[in-house]
Amino acid sequence: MTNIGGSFKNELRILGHLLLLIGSLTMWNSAHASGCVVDSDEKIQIQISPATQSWGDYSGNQLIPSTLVDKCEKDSGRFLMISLGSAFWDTTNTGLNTSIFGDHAARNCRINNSQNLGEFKRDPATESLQRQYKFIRSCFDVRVVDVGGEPLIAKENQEFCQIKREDDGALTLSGDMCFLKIRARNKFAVQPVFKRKCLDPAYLQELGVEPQDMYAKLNTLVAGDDTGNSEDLTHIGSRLLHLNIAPSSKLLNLTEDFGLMTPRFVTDYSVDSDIAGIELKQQSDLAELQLKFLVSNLAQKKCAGAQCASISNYTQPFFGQIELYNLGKNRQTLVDEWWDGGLVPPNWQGLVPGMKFRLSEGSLREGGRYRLIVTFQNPTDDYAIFLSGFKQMLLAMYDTEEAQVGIDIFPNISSLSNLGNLPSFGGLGSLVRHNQGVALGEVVRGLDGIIQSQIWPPYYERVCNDQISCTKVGNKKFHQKFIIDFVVGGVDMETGAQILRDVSISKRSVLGGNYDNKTSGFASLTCER
Amino acid sequence: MKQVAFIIVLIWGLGATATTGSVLGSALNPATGEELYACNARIRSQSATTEQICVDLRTGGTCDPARVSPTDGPCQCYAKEMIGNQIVATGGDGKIRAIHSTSQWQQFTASDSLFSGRLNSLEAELGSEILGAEYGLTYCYKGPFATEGIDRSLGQYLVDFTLQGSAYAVALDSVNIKYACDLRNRGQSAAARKPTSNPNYDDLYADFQREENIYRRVDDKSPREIGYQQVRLSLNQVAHEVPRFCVIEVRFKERSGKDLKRDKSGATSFQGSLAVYQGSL
Repeated sequence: MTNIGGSFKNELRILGHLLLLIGSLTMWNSAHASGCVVDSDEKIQIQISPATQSWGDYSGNQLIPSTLVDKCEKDSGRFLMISLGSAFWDTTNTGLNTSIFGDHAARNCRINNSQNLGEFKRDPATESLQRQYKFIRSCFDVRVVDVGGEPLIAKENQEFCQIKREDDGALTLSGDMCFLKIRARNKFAVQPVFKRKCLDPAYLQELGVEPQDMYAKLNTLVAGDDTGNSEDLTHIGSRLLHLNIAPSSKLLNLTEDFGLMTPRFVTDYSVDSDIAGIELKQQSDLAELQLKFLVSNLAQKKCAGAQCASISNYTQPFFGQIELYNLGKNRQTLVDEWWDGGLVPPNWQGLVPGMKFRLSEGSLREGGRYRLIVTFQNPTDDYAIFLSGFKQMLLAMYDTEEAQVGIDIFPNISSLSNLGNLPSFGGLGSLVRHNQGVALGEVVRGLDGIIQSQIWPPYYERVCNDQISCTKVGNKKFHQKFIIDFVVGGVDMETGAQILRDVSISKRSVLGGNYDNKTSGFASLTCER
Repeated sequence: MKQVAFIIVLIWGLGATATTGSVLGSALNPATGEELYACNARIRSQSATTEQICVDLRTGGTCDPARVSPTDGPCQCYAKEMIGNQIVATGGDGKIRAIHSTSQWQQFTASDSLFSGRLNSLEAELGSEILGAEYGLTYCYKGPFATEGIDRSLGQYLVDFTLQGSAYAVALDSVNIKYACDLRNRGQSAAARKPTSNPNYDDLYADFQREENIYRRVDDKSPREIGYQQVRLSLNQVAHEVPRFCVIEVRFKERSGKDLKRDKSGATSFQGSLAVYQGSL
């Protein structure tokens, strides 16, 4: 026995593990009053890099986990409807919508009373959504496998779907919506499958697809028939897919290259903003303050050869520090401080409502003069600070309000322990209300957003305006800053909020569009439809 | 002195709650070139009767495979009493697949292309009431490259398998481990494995083959628990016959018979590990 190579061999560690789970017979015996259920709403996160011909999750695994549709005994004879739709956020931030047929157009809106945001531009958003639909429909099929032991029943040629039977008994679905007949013992494993041809830059160009962030939703429903017109529809599951098509580093500035397994992100930042409102609600010694931001994530396209992309093709974090001061005769006193904001979808203009923050010192004095200073310093750091504060708040609520929060709600957000979970684009709803159970439910829905990652957001190196003139982050103490002075008035009987008098807003920004002592009120967005 | 080349840990859970998407790592040692990964799984069931159900895959109605008209959908038949015995896996291409039990072995990978059948996840569900299922999990091992100068890859190679588990023993008849190796200096493919080498499936079964029993149920008095079992077996007998390619199958066989039922009350689970070492017994 020789010692040669000892240390060399000792380098080896446990390298892999296998988890094999065997469900026993008892699974079959459980009776369920309701019909089919879906086992997972876990988000799917995929990066696609045509430049390096690679794709995978953020750990490099080329695996999109399947969704299991189970316990279908009661729905036997009805139909399972499966649709991989294109997902988008409304400008007024009423939530995430899904377009099944790709007929989505951005709403026609007008930006009012903003000195820095300019005109509302509808086309970039619409074009971005159309590219998204095109990519989702051309680059993903849905594979369905029965894991219950009964065959899969489906018509091959459906009005909105083509179904291919594979040699191994699986079905490959392509189309806007597809129907499968449900038999009592069917269990469906439903899995989006990425087509490798979509790594080919030439094919993407043919499709007219630019590198960008995209969002899709895998929706599963139970329908009374397979016509597509049935009103007898039960929505049983929804799963968000976030697809990040990485640009070439020749096109946009990217994070450092750590090899194929590590996704790279754009390092230029393009979100501009204006203040769109402050709402103050008070009741005895309780006060909640909510800021609303009008944001714009639009930047010019850059092209290299036939390939074009814009830094605004990507979701960006928009978070800042808020300080509330009481203005005395000769000095200002800090009342409270928090971080707030939201995530801004690609090529999107709209409202980001902040959270309803409960002031720790109680209500503000009617007739008192106050000042809000909102500072956006570094998109990534502000976001990290916001997240850690947000986590603390959730944990504190869970500790104190366990009975109301409900044990069944909390596990959904337990993944917050992995820092890197993002709240939704739409702000967070109310964190603090008299019925905190409701509030947390809203927050959980707010988290229907997106990204669970240690590597996103990247460190942004430059802040750029519409015209691609850029300034290094960190050269200034902030990239955007608002100072808002106001006097607390009486209660508006209609809204229940305090009227704010003598509002004066100033803005400083490296993006340009500075203004001083604007007294015409807040910027706003009015939309058709 | 024992030198660990590889450990792959298997954890089996048997219970009323099955979870999907168990991830299964593959083990690669860049220093020696060795690899160990799951590459196949198979299942079959003993059938008490051969009652078949045949279904028109387009309508869901019954059909007769002998009388299918061109306007009908495909007619598929399956054995009623084996419903639910199955293995679900995710392949190296990311696609989920399922094999359902019949009286013949059903498997993910053909026997003559095992090494290209990498599996990323594996999950077995045994739903048939009459027990009688037999299932095998196959792991593929690619041996070390030769090193320049003194060939440090020479030596004895061992496979180490452990198993422990609880109440499933009531249903279980036996657990076996079976392996076969294509060795250096034996058979047609005698050279050390290179990155481009392919296994010689004739040599694989001719060079070295062995089967060992790990657990066997004796009678109804046998304990419900499977205590800690460990076997350590040689993959080669002399140092210059270094393994080029090995396949290792762990096979579980359930008892069979109409009167047997699964123990629903028992919280059941299995745990096991599989490792390949260079060292001595």
